Amino acid sequence: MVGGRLKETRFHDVYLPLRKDLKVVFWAPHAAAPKREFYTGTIVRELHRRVGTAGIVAQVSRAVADLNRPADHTGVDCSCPENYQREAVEEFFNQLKGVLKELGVLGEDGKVMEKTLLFGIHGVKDEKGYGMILGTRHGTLCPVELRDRIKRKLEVLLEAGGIDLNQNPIGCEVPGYQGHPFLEEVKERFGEKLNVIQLEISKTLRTKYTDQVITALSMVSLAL
Amino acid sequence: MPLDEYEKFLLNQVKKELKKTPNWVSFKALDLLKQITWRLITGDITIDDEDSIRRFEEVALELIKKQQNRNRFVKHGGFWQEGYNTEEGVGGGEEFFYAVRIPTAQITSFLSTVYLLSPKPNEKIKEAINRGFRFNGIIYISYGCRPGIAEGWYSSGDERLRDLFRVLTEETLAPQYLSTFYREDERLLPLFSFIVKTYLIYKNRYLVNRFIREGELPPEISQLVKNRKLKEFIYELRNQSVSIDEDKWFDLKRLYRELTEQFKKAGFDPEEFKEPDFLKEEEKWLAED
Repeated sequence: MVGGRLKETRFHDVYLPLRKDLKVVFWAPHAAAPKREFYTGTIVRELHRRVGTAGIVAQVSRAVADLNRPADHTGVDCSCPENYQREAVEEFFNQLKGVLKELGVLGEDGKVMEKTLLFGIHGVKDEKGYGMILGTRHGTLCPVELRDRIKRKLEVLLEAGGIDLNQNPIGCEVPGYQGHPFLEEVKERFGEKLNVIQLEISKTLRTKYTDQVITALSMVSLAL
Repeated sequence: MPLDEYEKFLLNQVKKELKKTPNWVSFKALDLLKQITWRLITGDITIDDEDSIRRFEEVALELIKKQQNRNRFVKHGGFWQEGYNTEEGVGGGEEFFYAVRIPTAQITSFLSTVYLLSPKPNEKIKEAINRGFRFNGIIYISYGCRPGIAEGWYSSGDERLRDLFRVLTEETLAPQYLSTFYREDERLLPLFSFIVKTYLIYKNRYLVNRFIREGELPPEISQLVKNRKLKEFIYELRNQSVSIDEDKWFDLKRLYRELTEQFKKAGFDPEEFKEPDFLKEEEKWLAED
């Protein structure tokens, strides 16, 4: 199923959409080792295989170039060439543009014409006390109503998958996990109709309930 | 029944292979282990005399020596397999998934079969199986392989699981309900819940069956096994698997019927969403001509 729809680039694996009616792009910016967020890449890949959604999976470690940070970010902890971060971020923008074009939502002015959702898939430590955290920078990246609707669906779907929501609650806009300011730059570049949600998934959910998480996100993207 | 010469040869071979590699299990050893497990499951080999008990225990203990305790990547209980961690891991791929999960499942299957069939079950083997079951990496056996590199690695079983999800969401009534118009309808939530539950039930049944027959492990096993005795648990799995027909592991008609009932319960009218039967329509037109 993936054959032919996978595009391997310098910094990314890009999964072009198999279904153009699903206006959603899953993005795992920290999927590559070292310092990877385990299973985030797997989740994006599997969503593509199961329901045909578009996906972008980083193939470069955040220690080399952090794709969830702006081009001038200097916090990477390895002695790689200075321009790596800039090149990687620029490539991300190009690949996202390509994916949006494939989905048929990109206008001639480079802005998104139809409501589309960019889901950034991240990992969060269990100690934070949440199963999932949805971040939209308090509604700046995505309307609060849409965020709440997705939250409600995720709650129902995860509960059906046998996950105890008392132990793994879904939170919104938890301090430190509302979404990086860089996401505002992403939204600015592609216009108001691109909604962005940063989804943090706890380690327990990623490792022990991977399939349930994938199933829940599949259903959410089918009924967005 | 004592072991025949060939069976003794197989066990000696696998022991030799295991001794050759200090910390990991070679492909050849894995293959031999799988063959032996299969023979044990089908009853070709029985463990009933002192000699066979000793021989099987020796192999099992040799395997247990290779079980991981704790390191940077593997939390506990896993096994390394030849090759994958060096070949496939280039470019930050999911190398540790390849390296650990599948052999762990196969080895756990071998150990549990030996443990269950032995008249004098060895506690060390039981501990090793429990550690294998608890290993997080094998919880999700179907996925985690980098596409493009090892596409052929997927077994038909994984495709069947994806098919199941597609059937539930595409071939039944679901697409009509998932159409844009109804996407915001709160009445859909119990329906979603039903689809997820059905998917997980069928998936578990299928994986349990495969574990018993092919030596791979169902994903939720570590959660299920926590509060039960290992022996009872695996016997239960065995009993469950007997009733599953490999080719008819899910009944589409029944699923369709159940889903329709759920729609009705949710307050929808299934008739409203029925797609026209195009073949019948065509026949009608032809008849009119």
